[in-house]
Amino acid sequence: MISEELLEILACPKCHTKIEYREPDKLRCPNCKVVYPIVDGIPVMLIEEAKPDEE
Amino acid sequence: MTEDVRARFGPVAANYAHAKFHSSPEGLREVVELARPQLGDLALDVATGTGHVALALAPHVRRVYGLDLTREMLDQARRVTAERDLMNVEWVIGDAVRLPFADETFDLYTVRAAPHHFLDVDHFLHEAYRVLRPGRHAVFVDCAPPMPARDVLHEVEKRRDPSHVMSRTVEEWVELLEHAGFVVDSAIPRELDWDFEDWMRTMAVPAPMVAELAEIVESAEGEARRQLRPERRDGRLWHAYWHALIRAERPG
Repeated sequence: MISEELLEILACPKCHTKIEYREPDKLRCPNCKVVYPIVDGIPVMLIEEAKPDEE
Repeated sequence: MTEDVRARFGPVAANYAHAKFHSSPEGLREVVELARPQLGDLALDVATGTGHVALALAPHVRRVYGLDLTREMLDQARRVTAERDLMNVEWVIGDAVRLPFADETFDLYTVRAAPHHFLDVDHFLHEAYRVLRPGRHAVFVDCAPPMPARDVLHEVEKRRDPSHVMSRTVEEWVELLEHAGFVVDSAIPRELDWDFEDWMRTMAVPAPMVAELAEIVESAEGEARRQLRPERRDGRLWHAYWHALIRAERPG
C-alpha cells in the first residue's frame, strides 16, 4: 500500500526521527513513542492524530 | 540579491486568459515551467489539495508526493491518479508547517495558492528549507497584491474566506524567503484580469455580502484604485488581481 521509498523518507512531524513501519497500518516514532495511523492506504502524519505507542 | 529580484519587477502584462486558477492548464504549465523538474527528481507538493500540481509534475519527475491536511481532497487526488494510471505519485496527510519528512530529502518543493492560509509563515518556510536538499529549488505561487491594494483586498478576502490569513506582497515574500535562508532566483508579480463575481462564486458567498464586498473594491481611492482599476463590463465587476511566482534555492 505504501511504497518502500515513502517509508524511507517519512519522519515524525514533531521530532523528525525516521519512522518505523509496524504492520499492518501503523508508523512508529521511536523517539516520541507514538504511532501514526495509515488510514485507507494514506499515512496520517499529524501530531494531533498520533497515539501513544503501546509497545 | 534583492536588487536582482527588484530588477525583475515592473510593468507586467495582464493575463486576460484567467479563468479557473486552480486547475487551468495555463496555470499548471506555468508552475511546471517555473519548477524546471528533472526526470530524476524526488518532488514534494505541499497543500496539494486535489493534487493538481503534483499530478502535473508527475510525468516530469521520478516520483512526487502530494501532502495535504484534508483526506477528502487526497481521496479525490487518488481517484485521478488511478484514472491516469500514474505509478509515481503518492499522497500523505500532513501539515505544511510540520512536514513529516527527513531533512534534505527532496530535489523539488512546490506550493501553490496556499501560503495565504498559513498562520506561521516563518515556520512554513523553515520546513520547506529543511526538507529540500542543498542546491535544490522551491517554487512558491500565491496571491500577492501590491500595497496599498493589498489592504483594500484584505478585508474582501477575509470576509469571502475566513481561512484567509494574509496575502504577502512580492517584496514581503522575498524578505521572508531570504530570512529563511533561501536565495531567490526570481520573484515575478503577475497581474491578472479578475472576474469578481466568479471569484465570489467559488466560495459561495451570499448575494448581499457579494454586493458589500464589491462596494469595497469599487470605492477604493487613490493609489489602490489606480492599482485595482475596478470597472463594470456588462454589469459585472472586474478588477486587477495579483499572483507572485517565485523560484528560490536552498544554497548548496
